[in-house]
Amino acid sequence: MNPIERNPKEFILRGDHVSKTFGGVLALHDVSLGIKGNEITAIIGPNGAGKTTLLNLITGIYPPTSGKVLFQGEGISELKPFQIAFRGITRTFQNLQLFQNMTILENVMVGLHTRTQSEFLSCLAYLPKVRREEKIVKEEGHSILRFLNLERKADWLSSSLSYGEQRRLEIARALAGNPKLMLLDEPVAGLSGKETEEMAELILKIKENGVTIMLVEHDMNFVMGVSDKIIVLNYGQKISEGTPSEVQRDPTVIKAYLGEG
Amino acid sequence: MEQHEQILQYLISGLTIGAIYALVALGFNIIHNATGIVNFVQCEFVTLGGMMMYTFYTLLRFPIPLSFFLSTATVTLLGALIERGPIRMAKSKAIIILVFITIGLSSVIRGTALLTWGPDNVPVPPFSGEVVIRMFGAAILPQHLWIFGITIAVVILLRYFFHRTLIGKAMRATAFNRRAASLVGISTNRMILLSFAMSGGLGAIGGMIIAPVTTTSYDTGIMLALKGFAAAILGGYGNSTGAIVGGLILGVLESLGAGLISSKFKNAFAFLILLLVLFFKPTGLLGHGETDRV
Amino acid sequence: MEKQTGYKEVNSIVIQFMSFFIRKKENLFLLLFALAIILIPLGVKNKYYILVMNVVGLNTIVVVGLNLLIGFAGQISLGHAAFYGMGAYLSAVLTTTYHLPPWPTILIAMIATGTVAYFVGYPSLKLKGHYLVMATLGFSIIVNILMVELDKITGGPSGFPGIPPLSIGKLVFDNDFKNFYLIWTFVFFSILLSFNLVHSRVGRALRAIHGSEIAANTLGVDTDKYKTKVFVLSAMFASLAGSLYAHYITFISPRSFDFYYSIQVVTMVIVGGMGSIWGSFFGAGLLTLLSEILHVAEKYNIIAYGAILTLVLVFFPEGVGAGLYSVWQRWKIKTLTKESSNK
Repeated sequence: MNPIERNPKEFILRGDHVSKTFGGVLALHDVSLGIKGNEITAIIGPNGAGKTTLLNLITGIYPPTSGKVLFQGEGISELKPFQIAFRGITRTFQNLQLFQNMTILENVMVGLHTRTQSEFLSCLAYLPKVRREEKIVKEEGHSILRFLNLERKADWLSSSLSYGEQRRLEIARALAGNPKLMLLDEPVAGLSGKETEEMAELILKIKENGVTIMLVEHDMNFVMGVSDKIIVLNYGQKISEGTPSEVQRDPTVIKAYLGEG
Repeated sequence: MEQHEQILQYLISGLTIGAIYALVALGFNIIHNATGIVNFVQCEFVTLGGMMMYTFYTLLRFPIPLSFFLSTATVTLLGALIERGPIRMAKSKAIIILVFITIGLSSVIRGTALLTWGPDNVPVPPFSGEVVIRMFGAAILPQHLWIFGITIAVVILLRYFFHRTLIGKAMRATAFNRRAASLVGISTNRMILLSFAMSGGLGAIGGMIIAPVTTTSYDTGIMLALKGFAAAILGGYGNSTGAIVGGLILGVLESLGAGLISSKFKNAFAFLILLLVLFFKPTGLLGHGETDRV
Repeated sequence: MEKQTGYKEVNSIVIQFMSFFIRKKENLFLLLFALAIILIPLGVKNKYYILVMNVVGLNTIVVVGLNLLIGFAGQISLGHAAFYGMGAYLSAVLTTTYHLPPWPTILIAMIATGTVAYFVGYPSLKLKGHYLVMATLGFSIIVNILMVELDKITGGPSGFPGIPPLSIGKLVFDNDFKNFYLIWTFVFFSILLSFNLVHSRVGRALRAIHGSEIAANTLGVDTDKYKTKVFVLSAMFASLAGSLYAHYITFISPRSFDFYYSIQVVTMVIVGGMGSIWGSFFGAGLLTLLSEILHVAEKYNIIAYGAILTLVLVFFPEGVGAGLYSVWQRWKIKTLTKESSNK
């Protein structure tokens, strides 16, 4: 029995023998993994290893071809993305999916969607409860922007931010829903050295606030510095996992990155 | 006429009109595959095919092959001009805007056609006479044979073009993955220009070969083209075999429906089939599924 | 989906324009609007002008609803003529042939139209954008054919006459001026409701769907449900307008509810500026007036309409209002830099 099956309760997120095929391509093959609560787990691997596929599977963008994904003990493999958001999992995107037609504050306020309830009819009529909710949403939005140092630009269009700020905004938006688990897809891609350091600090701060984080990244320094545990994928399979120092010394990992010999 | 002879008659007229739907559907696919645009000017390409044929053949008395060639050439040129002009010049490349530009252009062309030829039907004589051929009790006009023949020829030519010539393969590559195509040196702009031109030619041919058999006026293309779009979806968005199959099946179903069920709702059948396809098998008869990748 | 939402860079000009109209100023504009509604029939005595304004009002109701779908949720429908016509015919037939009371019938028509819209929209909206275009197009044509062919009920191509005007107690809305107040009151409330919706959680969810459907989904927005609901809502707006139209003109015919009308209302949304509620009003007004003016030269009607639509879309895709505004901005910058370089 693998360690995950031995102690299932430890893991806030579990993948049990997850596979995913696209047409003829086997993107993930029999991947079993466990993410512990309140830790930062990084998924690394060469390009095409299946990392983003894994993220998409967890967030419900498509279902696994076989195997299950469980969150807090309950199966989520068949859920749609919006349902998974309500369970407490949010994410950011590799290629930034900000709402460029909206301001920074509004982007974050959409993040608060799972914590609010007003529906069509009440919104049309602008009922008092809607008014109250709007006030709270605005305040909460501002406080999240403050936490991420973006409050000054709250009413700017999101497209007018710098690249680094846009990455921060996506995190702000994902954080707004008070998730239990946050998935970050290449959070430091394209960032300068200084920005990467700031991002690392930010992620550690978020972890301190009780959020479990799973991230996919290529920047090794960043990954080694920030992660509690690392899982290595190659060609759709898990080839190693452990603490940063363990993984760094694992010969299978070295071979995967550098090739044979 | 006996029941089975009647059904055969419906089949023939269905296949005839179906051939036109197939041509329109092919034109629709070419542009949609290359750009994602639903090109509403297609309606006018079909109309102009017939109207040009009227101008060259009926009015100017040019011989048929010359009229055919000139009609096709002018509308092909028009297709190219539309792409080179308004489409290329558009400030926004968003699909909805470009689609609506084609709707606007469609009105402009239709309005011009109205001013040029007036609102009445115009006569286009059949290419080789009207002697009815009787086959198994059903009546076939020589024009029907022209329609089938020319459609088959066009389909074969297209097949050859797309699979055997370099330009054709380049177009397919662009349709499949625009970025990759441009990375290997294919001029995507030129491919898009070509797709508009070809779509023009296809629509025109469709319009001109059916002109002798139905009424032709400044707005006859609209229904034909819209049903052609429906045929494209029926066959499977973007699939060229599907376009042909979809066109023929749609034509036959429409003809049978009008003959056996009710002729009043003839025009509705095509769109009813469209809705049924969209709701039950949106990928069409021969289409592949589309997955959204992040 | 990326193709569908691609115009967002262009719409940012509209948003900047609109951000001047934040909540407080909004209320001011609404107030002025209400004032204008009350005062105009007192000042304008020409029945024809009032008639045209009433048509603008009816179109505005349809366009405002349609804009919620197109401008905010980012979905295209070419079938709103069918919903407009359903409202008109349902009201006409139920009140004239079956003598049902008109006001509840308007509500019944809205619910019936909304239900039909649900069945057309829900399967289409689960798929990609272009499916909705073709589905609504096909639906619109089918409904129009039904209007013509079910002539025992609808009166067929020659139309349906004798529709009773609306009335509240002793007040009968039987002339252009009274209908002006009736129609424009509904316009006012349509705009108000739209504002409420847009600046709320639901409105943000809709705009998020337009911005990035996949991100909206991962943030908890049930995109299929929201797209369907806004589609149904826009259909109900159109149905309401159709019912009002029927009771106003007291005569309806299928020609008013054909495919061309579907195109006209979407054009109004685009020309006015997608995502701008006041733009809907402006677009409806501009294009209805244009139609009226061109009506005189019937032959040139089609070509002129098409030319204007094409030119606006090619050069001012963000809408005429926003387009002219950005032209003005650029002109200002040019003259300012010229001045400073001349110094």
